[in-house]
Amino acid sequence: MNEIVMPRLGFTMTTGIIVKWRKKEGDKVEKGDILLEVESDKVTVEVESIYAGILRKIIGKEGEEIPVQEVIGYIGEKDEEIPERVAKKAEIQSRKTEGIKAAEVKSGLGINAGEKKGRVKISPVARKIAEEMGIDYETEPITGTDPGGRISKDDVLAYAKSRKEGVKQPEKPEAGEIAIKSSVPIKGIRKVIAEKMSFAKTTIPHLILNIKADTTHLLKFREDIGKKVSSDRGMKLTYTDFLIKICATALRENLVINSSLQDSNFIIYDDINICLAVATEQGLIVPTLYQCDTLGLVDIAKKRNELVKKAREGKLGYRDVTNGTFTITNLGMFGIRSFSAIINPPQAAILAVGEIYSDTAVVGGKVEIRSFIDLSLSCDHRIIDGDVGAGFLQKVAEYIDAPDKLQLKL
Amino acid sequence: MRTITYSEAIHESIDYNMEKDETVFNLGEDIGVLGGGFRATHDLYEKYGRKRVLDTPLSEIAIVGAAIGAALGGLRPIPEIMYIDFTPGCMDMIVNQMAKIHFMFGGQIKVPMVLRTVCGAAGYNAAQHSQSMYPFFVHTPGLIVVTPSTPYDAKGLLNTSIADDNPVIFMEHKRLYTSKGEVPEEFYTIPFGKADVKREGDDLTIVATHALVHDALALAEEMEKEGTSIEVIDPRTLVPFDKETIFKSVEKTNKLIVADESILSCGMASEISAIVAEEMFDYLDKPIIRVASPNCHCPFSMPLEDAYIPGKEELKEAIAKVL
Repeated sequence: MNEIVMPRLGFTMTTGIIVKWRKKEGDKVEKGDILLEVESDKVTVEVESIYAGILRKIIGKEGEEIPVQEVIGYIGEKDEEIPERVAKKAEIQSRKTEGIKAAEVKSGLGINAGEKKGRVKISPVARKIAEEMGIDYETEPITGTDPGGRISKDDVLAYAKSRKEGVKQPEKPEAGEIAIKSSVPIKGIRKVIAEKMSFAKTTIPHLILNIKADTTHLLKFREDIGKKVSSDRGMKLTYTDFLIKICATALRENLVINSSLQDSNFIIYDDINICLAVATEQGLIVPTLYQCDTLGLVDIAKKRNELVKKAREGKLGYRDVTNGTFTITNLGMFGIRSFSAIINPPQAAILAVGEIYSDTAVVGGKVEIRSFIDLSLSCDHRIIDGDVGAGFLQKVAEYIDAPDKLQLKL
Repeated sequence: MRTITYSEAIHESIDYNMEKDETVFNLGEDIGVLGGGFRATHDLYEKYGRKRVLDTPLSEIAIVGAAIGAALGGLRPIPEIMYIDFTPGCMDMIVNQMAKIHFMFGGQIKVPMVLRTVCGAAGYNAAQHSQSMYPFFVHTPGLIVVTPSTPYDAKGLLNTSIADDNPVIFMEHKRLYTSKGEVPEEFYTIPFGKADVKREGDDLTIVATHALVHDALALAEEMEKEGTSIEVIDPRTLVPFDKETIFKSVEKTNKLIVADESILSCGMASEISAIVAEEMFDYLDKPIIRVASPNCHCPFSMPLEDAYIPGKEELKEAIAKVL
């Protein structure tokens, strides 16, 4: 009898939600058949069987959130006895996935997930230590590494070590004081967003730089090129496509922004993979456009269209949402003129883009009406200083003002 | 220091006490002319004569009954029941007389006796000669229950038992009789209710009795090389029971395995686990794991007996569950 276990789809994955079983109990399974769909870290992954046989028993139910390495089913011969369920020891660090392999397994983002809902499983001594240390194990994201996700003494100590001093949970309002419309435990994409944002905002010292760029030339430029592309290739180019190209070019010239601080290592990436924040029904998703500086505008537009479509349909693959090195987020379509964004870890910087607006400007001693855009760059001050961030942002503004300087290929 | 066997250590204690105190005498099956099944009383018959090393008929109830009577009359008898498996035949004597007379008479009389018997599976002796049913005696108020694991502990604890005015069940273990260890030639005693930390460690506590003490020590030695530090504690007497030494250890390691050869269900491992779970709840980081004989008869078949006896393999599996 072979065990099917919840696969680890990234280094930081601790639990996965079973979205759907594609096979029923009693179904014949061949090696490579898709067994089920698992949701984790924002994506749904199809999980293949590495065993052939009969799907004898399904333990993990659809919608259930299950710790990595826990047995979720058995594949075996028709008459083989189904073993009593034994909780897997979660040797989180060392063990490879067994029983099944994920369609794709890639390293994830350096954040720990650890949802607490209902009764929290915790060992007596771990509970005692948590209470002594003032850690609320019911609400704080302590990752339990024992069978069934139970929190051990070591887990509490590791959590205490990682917890930043002075970060305290806000007081909850008195019961009954505020009428509650609904209260649901957050999970899936919402949980990942919550954890990433908390991590970013509490551990990364954000340095925020603002600049106003003149888009008058860019508007004209886009109109000219847009017409050409539209008639030649039947494609529509958006401002976002230009911004991606401009950022990629500016990043190549200021590569230190295209970086990451991981385990005390300052990593500068050679690939420029720009993430684009996309709002979907499930929440914010940030798909990745790989090696943007090598792509022409048309290819950027094509890839962007493809990713946005996949994001809205919930069809992004694991690779589509990982390996980004820089993020652009745009709220201009909502009439937002300027805002500052939270860094998307483990990246080092994010560019927040507002709407294009008209304003008066003094040009050659005369007042003119021109169009502008406000940009705000948030960067990780641990590795990026103000002058470096400003140099990059200035370059972006320069390209916006003079897009003809871009080495453009269509 | 000189090294002798567990069997020799027991023999030495009996011999010394018989020489020192004329009221000390032995009675049991084949203990005189034949010298005892495990040679613990060999040559005593020749030395002290048949009145002090009494070969009895095959009646356990007679052996224990006679011993109780002698004890009430002022002697210090050491009855031997050849195998613990035969004690059910004299359970009324042990449970209702030996354990209770002192209390029934309001403390006016004493029952100073040491009932020696043998437990443990070894040598393919099958279901009726392999048991470790001493939890019956732990379950009976009024009896002291002693379980030495080394020659040193055997001599010291037997000296204490013979000198004590209370009825004692002295539990010897089949697989230990030929085991060797350092034992002083001079007289010494070991107090009841004092556990012995056989090996110090920080990561995990194993409370073990009898032969399992040695399995635990061998495993601790192996695992030390892999960086796991195991503390091994032998309670040495099950009644009175030294909780404090175990509590102190669990406070340090937060993990406990209890290893005892009596049957798992209502066995000694279960009792010790319950005590720790009840009184040390706040210090536990992992479930307490029991290593014991399975809930079945000891098989006659050689490979099946090997599988039945709890030992190093079972301890390894238990450790894997908590580390």
